[in-house]
Amino acid sequence: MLIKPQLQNNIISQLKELWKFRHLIITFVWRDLRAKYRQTTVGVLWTIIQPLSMTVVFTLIFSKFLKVSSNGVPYPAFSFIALATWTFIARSIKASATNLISNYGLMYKIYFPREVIPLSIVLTSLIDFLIAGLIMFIILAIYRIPLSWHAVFMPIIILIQILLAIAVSLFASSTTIIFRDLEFVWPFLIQIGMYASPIIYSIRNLQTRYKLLFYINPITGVVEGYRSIFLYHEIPNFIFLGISLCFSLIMMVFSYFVFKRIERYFIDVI
Amino acid sequence: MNNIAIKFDHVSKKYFRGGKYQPSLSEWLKTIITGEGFQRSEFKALDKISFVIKKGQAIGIIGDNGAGKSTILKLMARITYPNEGEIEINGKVAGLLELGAGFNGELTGKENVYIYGSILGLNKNHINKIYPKIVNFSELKDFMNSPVKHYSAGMMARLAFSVSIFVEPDILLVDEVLAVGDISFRKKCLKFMKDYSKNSNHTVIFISHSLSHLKKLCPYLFWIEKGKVKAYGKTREIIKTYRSASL
Repeated sequence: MLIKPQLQNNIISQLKELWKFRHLIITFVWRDLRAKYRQTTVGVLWTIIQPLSMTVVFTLIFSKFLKVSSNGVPYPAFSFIALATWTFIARSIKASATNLISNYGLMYKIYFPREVIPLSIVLTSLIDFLIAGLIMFIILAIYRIPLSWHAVFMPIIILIQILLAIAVSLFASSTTIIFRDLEFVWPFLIQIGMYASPIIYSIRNLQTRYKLLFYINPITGVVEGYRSIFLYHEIPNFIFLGISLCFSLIMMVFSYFVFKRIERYFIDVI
Repeated sequence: MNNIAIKFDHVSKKYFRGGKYQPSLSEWLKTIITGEGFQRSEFKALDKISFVIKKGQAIGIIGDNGAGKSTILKLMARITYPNEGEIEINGKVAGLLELGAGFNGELTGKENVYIYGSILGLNKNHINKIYPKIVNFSELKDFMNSPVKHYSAGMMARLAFSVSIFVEPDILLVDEVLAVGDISFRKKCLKFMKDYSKNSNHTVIFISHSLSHLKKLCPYLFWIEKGKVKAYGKTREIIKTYRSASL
């Protein structure tokens, strides 16, 4: 193997190498899941306590006190579906921003393609999301919302959601290395992002001129997509989903390119 | 068959120095666009260094602190990359660059062995097979189910060393980690490395400040000073000149 100052690999050999290290992604997921809840009492239950308690709070504030409309579906189902999705994206970003730095010890000792770290974070968050998904089905059952054939669109939406998470995670991890300040910026961007996205409200209730704003938000397609197929029993809005997909793909290619270009200097600057 | 294990061809490594060690945005952009490393050269850790190490050897590296010894090992392990020159590596590299091996403190010794093994490309069955050997060599049988954060420095070094050798790398890098082990463990490691390097496919690169360890293990030494190879030769002779130069 020849090591030169310039990056020699093209994208195909990079992806081939990543494929060789696919088991490592699983190992990291397993490590993070074990280490995360090691000394806690309720352990993995924390995964669902967070979105559940947020749902309770949101239901009280926005549905009971402020009377935000959820278009005739029970507000807890309405908000939980969106909160689970949002938590997935938010966790991916937050962990990616800090984990390259916190895995310094490992990166300092052994070579492996560094994108394994953000990818394993997305997979870990996905596991949390799938657990939340099970809870959502329980909520649907409690409110006697039946499952219609529209649920067949779920894999498409999940796929777009995963692509989006990978894109933003790669972006967050490499930009945080460049600007360490971002480590502190992401948490409040995420908080602002939650209010700027249709999580506690629905775009259905917005005036048309505001709706345009939500077209550029890649979360909209995913969140409203889930609501469409599970709560309103209709075909999801493919324009929104298409925007999410395009956004995710473009951002993923761009972020991966940047990530691979600066990856070999991570250790020198962390 | 190529019998070269490692070849450095005019390799330089530059580092930033002082308070402004962070690259600026324009430096980052240049790196992203060109794919080259940062050119600002405030400190040359390695200065156009060239050498060849053949397979089946145990090579020692000596030199004062900051001479560039560890940087050489980090380049071999692909932890960091050169600013100039070319490095040729033939074979799987593993080893101990400083203490700890990147263990996760929350996890047990056993779990860490499995993680470390899989980072080095071993599958689970393979790790299952070498696991008893690792436990046996490290003599940490009673501690394998305790979190690593409760280990002492010496225990950590034992575990890290044991894992590194049983993944059977073609090129074993050992950077000054035996210093924390007790005498009997040091002896055991030295003996192991000596036997290991007798295999014509294995190469051991050993950094140490302990001249007696170097004498025991390595027939030949590199003496690194200010990022260059100051001398290369038989261990006894290099040590003699190194000693007299240090006094």
